[in-house]
Amino acid sequence: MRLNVTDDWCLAAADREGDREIGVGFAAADPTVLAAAQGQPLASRATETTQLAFGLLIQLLRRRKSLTLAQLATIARVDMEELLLIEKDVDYHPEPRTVHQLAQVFELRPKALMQLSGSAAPREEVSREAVKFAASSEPMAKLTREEALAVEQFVAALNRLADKDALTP
Amino acid sequence: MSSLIATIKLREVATNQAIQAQVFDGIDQTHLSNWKTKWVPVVQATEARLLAQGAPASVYPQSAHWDWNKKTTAFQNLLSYRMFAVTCAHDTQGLMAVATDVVMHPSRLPDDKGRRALGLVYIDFLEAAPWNRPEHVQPPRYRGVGSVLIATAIQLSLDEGFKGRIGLHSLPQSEDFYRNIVRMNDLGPDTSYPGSFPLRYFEFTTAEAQAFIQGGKP
Amino acid sequence: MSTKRTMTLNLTDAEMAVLEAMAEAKDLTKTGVLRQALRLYQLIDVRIARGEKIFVENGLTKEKAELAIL
Repeated sequence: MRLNVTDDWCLAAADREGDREIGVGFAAADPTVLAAAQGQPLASRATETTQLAFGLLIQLLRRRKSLTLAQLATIARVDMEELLLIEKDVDYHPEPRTVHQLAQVFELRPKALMQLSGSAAPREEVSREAVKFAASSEPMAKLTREEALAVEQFVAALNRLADKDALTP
Repeated sequence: MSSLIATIKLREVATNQAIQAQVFDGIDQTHLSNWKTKWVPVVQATEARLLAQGAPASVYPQSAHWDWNKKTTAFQNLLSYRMFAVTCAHDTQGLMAVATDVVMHPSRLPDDKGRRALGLVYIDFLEAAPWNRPEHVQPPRYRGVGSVLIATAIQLSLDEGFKGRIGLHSLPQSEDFYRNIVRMNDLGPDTSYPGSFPLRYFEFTTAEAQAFIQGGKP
Repeated sequence: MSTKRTMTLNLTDAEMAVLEAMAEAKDLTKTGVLRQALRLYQLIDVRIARGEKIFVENGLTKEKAELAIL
């Protein structure tokens, strides 16, 4: 085999190519890197923690309003099955619409809730707040004063961070 | 076994000069040890740096997990597989592995008679040395490795009777190059490999490939 | 790598007919078809030698049957 390209061809091609990435092939692909590059949720500890906090938050907010899952589903106009998964399954990624509806019902910034639910990569501060919140809550007991306070503070923090986001371009 | 199939030019970024380089058919021990002793440490240094900076996974260099030693062993004696290297200034500047069996890699685009599932040269892997990539080394050393390897794949396709047809799955960071510079047809994310991330599949028709290698714009 | 050796091939009428039909269908020369056949034979052979099995799947029923290769 012989390759016949002129020097001029090579240089013109090189100049068009510039410094671009040229890598090819499935074996080259690192799944976690690719998922992150495409804006998909990573199966990382940070994401799991925020998703855990999301489920917990929804549950506590629901109980603060003394609602059953069924009642919340009706009011928010979302699937009850999905609500169950949100509250119970840490790996579950809810539909963005569902997150939006829940934000409306609980009077939260939708963007704030999106960061928790796995629809967007969580900021480090969000992850930190999520860990603090989840660690300070006991899901099976009635909502205590401590839990109520924790919910309030977490919601305030999320809203504050969402506002910060709104200011940055 | 490795044989020289062309002497070409690369653009040296620092001086803007044209630098003589070589294209080899077949990879041998010199290319492999160059990969191991020179490429790998640079890639590992980048990963360590990104890790220390707490960068999100999306900026990690893709193709950090290739192992060319393993690839060569697997492909060595199979007629279907061919490997190529670009060298310059005693270093391996780029590596490529291709498959030429039509059953595993049939063409998807119709030819001028409307026929599909024809043979093509499928690029299994293609990688530039890390010092030619800004995500590892700024400024990069040489430009043009990608274009030369694509031209090589097209030439092989012509030799095999595949009329220049080539296909490949691009890494996301490389889509700009294949779509906008090489101007291959983007057939979209390929979901036919369950368990793998759906990389976008690109293919050249006969006319387009021949136009690329002859320097005219398709 | 680039040296080529020549061989004379004796095929039956039936074999030649298949070779010509495939060359037409695959847009290859007859030599091209035979080279492809050799590659595929080698690929399959190497896998079988490693202890792997080759299966074909019925497109409708999804039933798998092992391919018996010499």
